[in-house]
Amino acid sequence: MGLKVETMVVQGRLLVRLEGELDVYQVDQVRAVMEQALDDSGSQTLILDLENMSFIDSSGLGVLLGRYKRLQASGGTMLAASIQPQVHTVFELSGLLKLIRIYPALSDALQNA
Amino acid sequence: MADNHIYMQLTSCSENVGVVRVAAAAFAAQADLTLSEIDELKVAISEAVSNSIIHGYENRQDGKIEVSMQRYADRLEFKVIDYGKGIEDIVLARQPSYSSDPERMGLGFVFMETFMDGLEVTSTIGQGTTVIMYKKIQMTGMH
Repeated sequence: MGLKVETMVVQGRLLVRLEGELDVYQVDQVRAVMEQALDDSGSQTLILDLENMSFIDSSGLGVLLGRYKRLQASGGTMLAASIQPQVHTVFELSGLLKLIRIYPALSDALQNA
Repeated sequence: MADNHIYMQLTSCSENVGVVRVAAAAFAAQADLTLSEIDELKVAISEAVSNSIIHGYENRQDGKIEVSMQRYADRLEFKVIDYGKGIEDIVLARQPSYSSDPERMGLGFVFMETFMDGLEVTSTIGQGTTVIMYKKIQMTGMH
């Protein structure tokens, strides 16, 4: 249980790495960290590294969707790399898969961002 | 008669969502579900308990939530009870995109319905909400 969030800027693009389980307990913290990182970096490209995110539910999805909407409103994009099966299923059912580009590995996402 | 039964009572703190999820996964693992079925169950139980906290108790941490898990020969049944404000219109609440918060997608009940084999919601305004959902399992041999 629990969730770790890390942010870094890679060649002008914001990379957000989420590890663990993202549910209602963690959403306020993750939202705040992501908003701050978007403000600080000024980046219009957000890459989610989800290799070690093992679980997400609708509360967690809401946080990602909120950041997607923010980026979309200013012409930015969101990508995700290394999605695990449970997260993939939830992204698919929610329609998020149609909104963001998915890459098998972080290196692919960085190349295409 | 249930073959096995777990009853949990918790306060409506959001960190308890993960505790119930882990318990539900461990309970389901006794029943030979696949990993992907257990993942589905984890989402459904997370949604039910999160709804109680976020909507039933409006994020107050002093509410009481009861969770019971029962294993029958043909199904696992999960019941989540809160004594919060209740749902005014259950039919509407079960529609996708029904949410008062723009950041939420209103998918809680959709996920419960999709990931479980049955879902029943009863609610009384001012008294609370009960969610009962079940997942079918392989019939266990007679003992």
